[in-house]
Amino acid sequence: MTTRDKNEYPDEHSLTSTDWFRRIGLRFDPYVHLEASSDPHLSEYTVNLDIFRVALDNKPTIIVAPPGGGKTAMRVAVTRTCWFDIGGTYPFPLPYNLGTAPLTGTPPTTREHLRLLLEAGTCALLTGLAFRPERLFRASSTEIRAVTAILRAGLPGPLDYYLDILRETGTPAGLTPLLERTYALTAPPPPDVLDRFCNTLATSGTDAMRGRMEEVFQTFVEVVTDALGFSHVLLLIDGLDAMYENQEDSQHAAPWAFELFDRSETWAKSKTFIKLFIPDSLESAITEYLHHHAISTQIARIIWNHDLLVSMLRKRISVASEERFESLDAISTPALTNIEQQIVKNLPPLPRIALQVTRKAILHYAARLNDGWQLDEEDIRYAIAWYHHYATQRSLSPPSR
Amino acid sequence: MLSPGITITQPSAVYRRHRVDKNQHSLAWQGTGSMSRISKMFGDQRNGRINMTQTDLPVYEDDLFVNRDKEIETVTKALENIARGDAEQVRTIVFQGERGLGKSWLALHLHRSAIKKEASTRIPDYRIVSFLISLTPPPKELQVGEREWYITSNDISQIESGDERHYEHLLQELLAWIAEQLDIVRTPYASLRDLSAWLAQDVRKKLESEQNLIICLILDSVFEANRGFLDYLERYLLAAFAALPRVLIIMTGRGRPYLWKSPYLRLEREDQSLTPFSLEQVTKQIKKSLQKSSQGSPQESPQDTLIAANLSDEAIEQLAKKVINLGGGYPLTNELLARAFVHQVLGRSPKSDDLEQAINSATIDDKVLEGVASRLLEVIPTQWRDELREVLNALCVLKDGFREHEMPYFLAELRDTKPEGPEYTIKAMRGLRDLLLETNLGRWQDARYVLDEAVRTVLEQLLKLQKREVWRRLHERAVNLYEDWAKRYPNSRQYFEQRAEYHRRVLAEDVGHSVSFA
Repeated sequence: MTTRDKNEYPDEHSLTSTDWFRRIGLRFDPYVHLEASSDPHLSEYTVNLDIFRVALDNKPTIIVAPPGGGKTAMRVAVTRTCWFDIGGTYPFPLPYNLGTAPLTGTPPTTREHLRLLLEAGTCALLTGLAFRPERLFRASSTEIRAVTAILRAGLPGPLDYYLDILRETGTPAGLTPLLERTYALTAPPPPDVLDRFCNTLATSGTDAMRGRMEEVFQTFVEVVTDALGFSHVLLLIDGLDAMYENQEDSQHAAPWAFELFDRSETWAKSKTFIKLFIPDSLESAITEYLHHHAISTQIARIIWNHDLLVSMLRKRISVASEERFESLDAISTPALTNIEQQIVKNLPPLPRIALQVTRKAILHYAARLNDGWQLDEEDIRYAIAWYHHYATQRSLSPPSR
Repeated sequence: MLSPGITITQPSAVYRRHRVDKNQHSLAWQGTGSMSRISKMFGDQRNGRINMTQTDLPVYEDDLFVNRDKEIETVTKALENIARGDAEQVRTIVFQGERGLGKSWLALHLHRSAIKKEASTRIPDYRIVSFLISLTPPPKELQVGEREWYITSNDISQIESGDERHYEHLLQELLAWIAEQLDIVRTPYASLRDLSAWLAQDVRKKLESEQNLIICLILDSVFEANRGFLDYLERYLLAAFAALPRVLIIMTGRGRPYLWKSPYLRLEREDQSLTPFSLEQVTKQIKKSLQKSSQGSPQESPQDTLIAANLSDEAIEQLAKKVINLGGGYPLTNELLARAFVHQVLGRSPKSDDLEQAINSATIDDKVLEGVASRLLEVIPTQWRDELREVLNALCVLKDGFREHEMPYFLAELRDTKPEGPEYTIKAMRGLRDLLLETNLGRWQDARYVLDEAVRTVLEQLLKLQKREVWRRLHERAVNLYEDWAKRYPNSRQYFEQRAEYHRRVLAEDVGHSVSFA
């Protein structure tokens, strides 16, 4: 079996990656982003629609998946689809990464959780509103003052500092790396509208809201649902497995979620719903706690099998080709049929690995594009051999955190 | 009051934008002339030519509508579920189908008749307000009805240019029009983004204040529209409506589907493929159509149409069988073939007594079929039509579809040459493939590209009729190619052997006995 490292990249033939993908009928490389938050098309190729549905609905939920099983991808996809339109009645996605909580050796208290949630929520809200300022513009002046007060109360830095960044960069994308990376939204407003947004917040003449953390967070929820027109708030909680280095120790992370679930019924009454994304290693510890305390929660498991992986690979091809075709069969020699099936049957059922191996096959094809023009058996053999060669020596990239 | 988008430019009163709002029932399209479609259609036939133009097609009328009970039931059920507030609701219904399968008629029928008759009976306490938004211009003789919005040819040209400012302008008009229809007053000068944000909120409030209101958006010819425009349409209109509690979105489309991004357009959706008509339905369609033709004014209705309208049920069924054999049962093709066939026969034996016998014994004139094919291919932009016609002729024998590496063999066979040289490279084939997909007369389905079956059926019949030897050569080419590949690619042997077998069978049926190929 051949393993030709020298031919790995299309650049060797003086083609940019985009040029090369265009030549095979794709608008972009659909397999390049292994880190979900950096993929601008992520929400377009969700295949696990049942999980997607429960991730959006108005019920407390635990979403379980193995490491590398697409938890982050699902969370990012939910976030972006909620902000796709301009001002509709969608849920407000509040990404809460427990991996960024201060490591004090003990789980956060309720007050600490609320403070972190408020910070995460206001970071998300300011970034989201910078992309969709029309939600703010249609609010009354009282509501705008409430938005400003809550932003001042929750943001990690002064609101005016972030508004200056927006004015200087002229784009809401300037805030994304600072405040909330998953909020890399599309269709930003024109610079003059963004400027108006900054002025609206800067001149609303309000100080930061003060009060008990519980009340402040409740006000945040009311601002989002009443003043800004979101249907409900999704607390997208992730990163519980990122605090400990190995799986055995990660069991200790489970109590970090207990405080949150203790409040889930109260939150549900005020349109706020926990969506906890956990690895399967934490499922029993958490569900046992919920059962013991009679806390009602739905559990959804992301279960990858070969058929679903085939669908995922094909959906990406479909999006990248603007639905012109949905399998690599379309650009392959007659020797190949059912390519995605051939790839995944040789791999463990994890999306990350399937993406890496498929991309490897395409890059191998790219390297000899001028000779061949069609994907052939050699490309597939090469990619699978690559996986087996490296998988036995070292594991592939760790799952995203 | 006229809606902001409507301007009257000529005394003949053809509206620039084809829409009629709630206060303007039946005002549009008064300047298109009075000659009936029947006399126009038959006029050229008298001179031995079939010249089917846009006006040949019957326009939608409630009493001409046939079939689609299943689809109407799907819509009615969805509306009932919305009214009941069921947790599991279908918020979006997509009707897909080939060229001439009656998608636009279904959209019109739902909007003008079926929702009023069926849904309003079953949920009488609810006020259902439907909108028809057509992304294809209306046929010239269609009387544009209440709450109907049609894109114009000019809009389509500008959208195709990819100028996003035009997307914005057009959607601004559309959103303002919808707002006006729903009695939501907004400044006409608001930007599209502002308008979209306000409309989302105002419609939500309206639905909250009118608990018995259900809004139904019916969008016709969606997949045929420019993809960039669809992104705008979703972002600024559909995504917001899809998230609302008592809104049903119905779409029709042909060819490659569009992947919506909004979760509510993807999750709570039902897709249905429209199917061609059965013999019984084609018979009914032809009968209604011939009877309708005979009801024109005495000056405009030729004697022929009266004779045709009095055909016996048996004769009409015989005609329907011929029509299905030639065209596959697609309503547009049925209509064109039946009328042309009747008048081909009338042209030769114009007496009523002989007509039924003549219909039974006659074979269709290739000019008639050519006219039908030309009509079906009118959706291809003129500058691509000849090139794509040749590609379609080469591939029309491939009922099971094809992949790009098969294309050069069939094109070369049609041209009676070898698949060598720059015209037959994979790059060239991908260019042709993309043209084909752009017209939505081909799409990826079950691991292969397939041609629009309504078009493929007629083109293959025509090729067989006009150039039987070429048709046979193409099937022979398929047999040889797939047999060869079955030997060369053992992993796909069964796949190719099945295809070879299909073409062997077609050829055998044609000559009435089995044949073998080298």
